[in-house]
Amino acid sequence: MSELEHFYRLKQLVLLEYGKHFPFFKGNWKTFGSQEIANLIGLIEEKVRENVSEKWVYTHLKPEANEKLPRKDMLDIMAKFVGFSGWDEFVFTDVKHQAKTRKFPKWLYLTLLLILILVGFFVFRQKNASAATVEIKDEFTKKTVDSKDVKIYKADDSSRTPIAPTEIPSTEKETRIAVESPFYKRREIVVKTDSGKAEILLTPNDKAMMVKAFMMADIKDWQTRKRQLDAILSNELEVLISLENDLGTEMLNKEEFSRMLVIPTPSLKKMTITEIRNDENDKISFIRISQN
Amino acid sequence: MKTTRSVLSGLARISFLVAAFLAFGSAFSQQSSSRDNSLKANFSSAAIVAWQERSAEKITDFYAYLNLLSQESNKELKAQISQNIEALFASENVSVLDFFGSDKKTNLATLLQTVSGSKTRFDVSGKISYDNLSGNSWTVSYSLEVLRNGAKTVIPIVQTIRLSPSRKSFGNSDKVVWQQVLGEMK
Repeated sequence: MSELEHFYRLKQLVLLEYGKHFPFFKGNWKTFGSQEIANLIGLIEEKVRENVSEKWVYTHLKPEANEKLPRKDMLDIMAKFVGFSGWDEFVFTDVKHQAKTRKFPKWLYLTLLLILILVGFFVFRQKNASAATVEIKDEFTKKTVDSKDVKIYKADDSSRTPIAPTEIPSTEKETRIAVESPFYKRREIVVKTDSGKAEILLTPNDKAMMVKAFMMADIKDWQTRKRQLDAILSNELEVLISLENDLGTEMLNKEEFSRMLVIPTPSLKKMTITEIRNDENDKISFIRISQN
Repeated sequence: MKTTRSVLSGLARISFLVAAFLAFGSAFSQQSSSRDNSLKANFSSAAIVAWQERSAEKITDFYAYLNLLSQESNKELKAQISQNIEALFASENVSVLDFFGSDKKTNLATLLQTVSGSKTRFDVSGKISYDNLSGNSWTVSYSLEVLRNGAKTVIPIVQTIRLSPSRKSFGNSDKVVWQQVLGEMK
């Protein structure tokens, strides 16, 4: 620490000492006016029995930055004013104090911050680099399956919390995921999370696909549709249609559901299949539908 | 003397058992028949609203079918459409409005015959509101636009909807489910 820095520290202590005697003053050296200067001169005369001129205060105490250190005798007076025997004792004490409460320079803080940011960036990149993107396709048509028809979750997750197919996060190199859809057979697959991209081919459930297509159809070919529905739907079929906000369920049997699909209506177009189950004869025995 | 007494005692015991059985059976059947199947006893207000909105969809489906029936000429398709319409209602004898006739009221079966091939367009317009919720029914109020031979008529309709438990067959088994049907129109 330079002598000027010691002097800046001494100036702070002078201001503090002044504030003890004149507590209503809440300013700094910049706002230290002629009245305050007069008060300070009187205080120094009273406490230290020394004279300090108004000009000296303006020249050395009020400026924020000093070009040079004042005369030693004046430094002694100021040091005595704040409770030291002289300038030398003040400097000695100040050096010891600064050593205890050393503050790091600003550039060091900035450098540490920059290092932290860089470390954080590399860790983030590393984590992202280990996430894979999964593309799900129909095994036969090779077309991408609509993401709203598919649910992906970690195979060991009993709660089956869905994860986005665009990013399979993992802290390990491989993740076993399960892919489910009302229209495709369930598939479990190991995805290498550091490989960037993974392609999963799903085998369609043909009968479920037919029902989905029929729900989108118009009245054309209604008789063919009726025959096909009779063939693919189990006699024990249960269809659950969820009401708005899942506040209730309407239950239809095979005859009622077939009627709906044979002659499609506006309300049918708003429905989405969320679950399909086949029986041991591969006929559709259960359908769950939600309304959009 | 002893034999007579024991016979009488036995008879008294049997009579008591029979009487107790009959009383129990009566109480049980009273309990079963008094189970509350009303909508308010079985559904929350929000659930009833959901069912009411479903009934509005069935009404829209009814008029969609009616539009198909009025445009279609294929006999088999018309029969299928009529079957679909009748399945929406409690029965083909339900009292409905005669949209073309002067006496205003008819039954569903007659309405379908009148509409079939008539080249009429039916559209539900305006706001749909639900009122008169009681027991197992409510009413739906809506306006129906009828376009025929270039002339448009707007008919205000109040239609009853019924929602009640009903036994339904699912192949070899059957279950009691809540069944919603369209009812009479005013």
